[in-house]
Amino acid sequence: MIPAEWIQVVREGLATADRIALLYFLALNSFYAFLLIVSIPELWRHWQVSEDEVLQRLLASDALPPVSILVPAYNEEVTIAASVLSFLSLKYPRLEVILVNDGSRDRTVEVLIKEFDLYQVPPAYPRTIATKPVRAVYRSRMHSRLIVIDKDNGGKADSLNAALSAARHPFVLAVDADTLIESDALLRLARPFVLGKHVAAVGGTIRVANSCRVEMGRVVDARVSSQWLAGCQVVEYLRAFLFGRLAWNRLGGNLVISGAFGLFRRKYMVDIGGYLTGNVTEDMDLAVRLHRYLKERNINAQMPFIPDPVAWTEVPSSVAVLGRQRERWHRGLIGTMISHRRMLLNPRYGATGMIAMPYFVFGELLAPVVEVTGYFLTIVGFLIGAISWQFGLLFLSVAVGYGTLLSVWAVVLEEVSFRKYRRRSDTLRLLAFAFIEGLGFRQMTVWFRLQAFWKYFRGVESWGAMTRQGFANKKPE
Amino acid sequence: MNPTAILGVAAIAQAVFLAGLIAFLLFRRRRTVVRSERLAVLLVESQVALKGWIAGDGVIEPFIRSLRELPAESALDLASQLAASVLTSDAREAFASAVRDEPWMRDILGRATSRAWWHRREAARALALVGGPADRIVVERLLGDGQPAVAVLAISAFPRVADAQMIGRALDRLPNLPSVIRKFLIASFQQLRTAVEPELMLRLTPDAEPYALRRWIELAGALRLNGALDAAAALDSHHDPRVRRAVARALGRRPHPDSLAALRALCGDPDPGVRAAAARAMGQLGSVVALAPLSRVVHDPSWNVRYEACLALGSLGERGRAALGQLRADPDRYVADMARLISGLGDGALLELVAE
Repeated sequence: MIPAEWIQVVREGLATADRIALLYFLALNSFYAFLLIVSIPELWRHWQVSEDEVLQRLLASDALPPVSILVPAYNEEVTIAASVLSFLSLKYPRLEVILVNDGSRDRTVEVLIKEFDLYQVPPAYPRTIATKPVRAVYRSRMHSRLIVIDKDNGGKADSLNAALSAARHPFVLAVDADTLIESDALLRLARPFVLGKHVAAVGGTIRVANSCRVEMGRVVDARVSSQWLAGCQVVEYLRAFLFGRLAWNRLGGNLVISGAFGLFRRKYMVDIGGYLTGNVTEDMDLAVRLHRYLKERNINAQMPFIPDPVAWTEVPSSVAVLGRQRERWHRGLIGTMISHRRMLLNPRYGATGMIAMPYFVFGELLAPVVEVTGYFLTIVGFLIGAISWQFGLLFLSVAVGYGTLLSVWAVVLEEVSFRKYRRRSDTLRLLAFAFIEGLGFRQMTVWFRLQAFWKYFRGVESWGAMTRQGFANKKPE
Repeated sequence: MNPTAILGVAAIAQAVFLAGLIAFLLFRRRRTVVRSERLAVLLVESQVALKGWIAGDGVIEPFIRSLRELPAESALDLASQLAASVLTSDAREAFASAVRDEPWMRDILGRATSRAWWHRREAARALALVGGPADRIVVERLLGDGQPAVAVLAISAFPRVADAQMIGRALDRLPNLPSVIRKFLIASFQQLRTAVEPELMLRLTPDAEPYALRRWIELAGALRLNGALDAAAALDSHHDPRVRRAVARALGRRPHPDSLAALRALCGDPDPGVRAAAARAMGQLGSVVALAPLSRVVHDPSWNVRYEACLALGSLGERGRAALGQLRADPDRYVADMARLISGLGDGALLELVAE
């Protein structure tokens, strides 16, 4: 028989642990609410500038700084020609496209040679960053602004480094070959460089392209997917970009500039040695190293996020692929936070060390552990009578309700600002997914993120297969 | 209060807030639809009145009356679009004097001192449409506005209101402006070329601050002001290489035999940036006389100078292309590589690079 005092101690322990978990949820979600409130004036400011057509026309002049677009490609023979054309036809006065074929096993290079009339040229640029051997460099007889580098396989970061070495312009835009960039997105992305103070990097918004109509590499009709997995991710992306990252502009800068769509000052990228190969989330690692570099050298440069330049990407539409993606993202977060642990709560790194890093460690990295512990303790406590059923149900409903509230708020922000989704049916879908997301989707991603701890400490470095359906002139559902 | 009660209050607050957000969302969507439908009707009426004025009886009053019906911001949007696309300069002036004292326009002009920058931005846009000499002080203040979006729009108003003193002050301010605002100011000076040149020439002296000097030389080149370019050419032996680079770039916009001689000298400059700028400028002059000096410059030790020299040769027509073809077999591997790189480009691709 277990003594009654022991059972009492266990019950009290469970109840206390449950309250700690509750406090964690309340603190974290209150911080999210704080981020949301802080993001409103930011959103208003950017919206005012982005909606001014006269100003947009003025900013589309040759006063803009020249930009090199870096495009890593691996086995993209089906879509590569359309992708390159869409990058070359971006509305921007001065740009070059540097495509790096990362040792593709398909006909990516042959397709490019044929479609763009490429000819081999000497690799006439200084190798500022070491990469896998370059096999050949090509230029196009038709498009002076296109350079193709064919190199041995070394991963995405290695390809981006090869492109960074070859870039001639002072600003570089890193994109994925399958990212669909809105035609004026680069003009908008360059706005902080033009109008703002000294800027080291700028991030734009990524939106979900699943179910949108795509023609010639451009989204021409934005729709919210009716498929629940993609639909939940639409809401999730809105929440992350529309208020999460905007608020960080005011709180010390973003720790994530998306690898699929981010503009950087080339000099700083080269100074920090480019992208780190071997890291599974090279974009976050780059942003943190950039923050560190700027602070350690007392360079007063900002790394803002701006909401109106939009790139569209296809999100996973199967649970297995989503699982691999989220596990990898979280594994990258763990690795980045451990690599840069000396920045945590270190006043030398200003708001990045004192606010952003603690948030990412305690609010993002540890969140799945605390969340699962909270659910587990609530159920066990309820079963053994340590907590009342009223407390248990209220705890779960408040935890889920807070997330839903923030998601609905993000939908409202989207509706009062950029309104990419014009149909009423899309707004209603967004609202529906805001509710569904908290009831299953989020818990599922918590499980994927937990797996990341296991894989990280086992030393797994793989990306995992990311199958996509592609966009080729996709019709809406 | 026990934890269950706290959670209960939190749950009720959440539910109320959530319901409020959803109600707001639906209400706002409905209101936006109604407003945009109403605005569309008013805009159609304005378009009809506009046609009547421009292509019909020439009477502006009905159009001005139709603008009164629009919200002030929409009226300003429409007026700005018209000024930029449809109206001739005479019609623009007639329109400016007709709307200047309209209540909606006075309202917007009064926002020039607002604490909200987006109100000041609207005032700057309005001044670009209807501003006059009486608005000089306001425009000058908006030019120095801390919000660059306001400053950029105020520059659009500059040509309407500027006098010689104002131009002088703008020239003094020009070197220290952020690059984009500087470029807009330079573009707006195009409309004031005659008034700008004497003020600019006063500043193109060797003892001027080098940083400012190169910006003024850049302005002389951008506006192709011959007198100012002559003054700039005299600075080709300035001690600061940034000034010499600016001189080389400006000379590429001055088609004159003296320019080629000065550029040939600058191709021997100790600074590779100056040599590269001089090579590019020789290509811009487009004279076959530059073939011989450029064929020598392609042997420069600097990659960038070789690149610019080959590019310049490529832009000199058939004879330049032929020279490049010969350089492909040059015993110097670096020269041959660069010639291969440039001569492989098609005409369109080459033009793109030259125009950069």
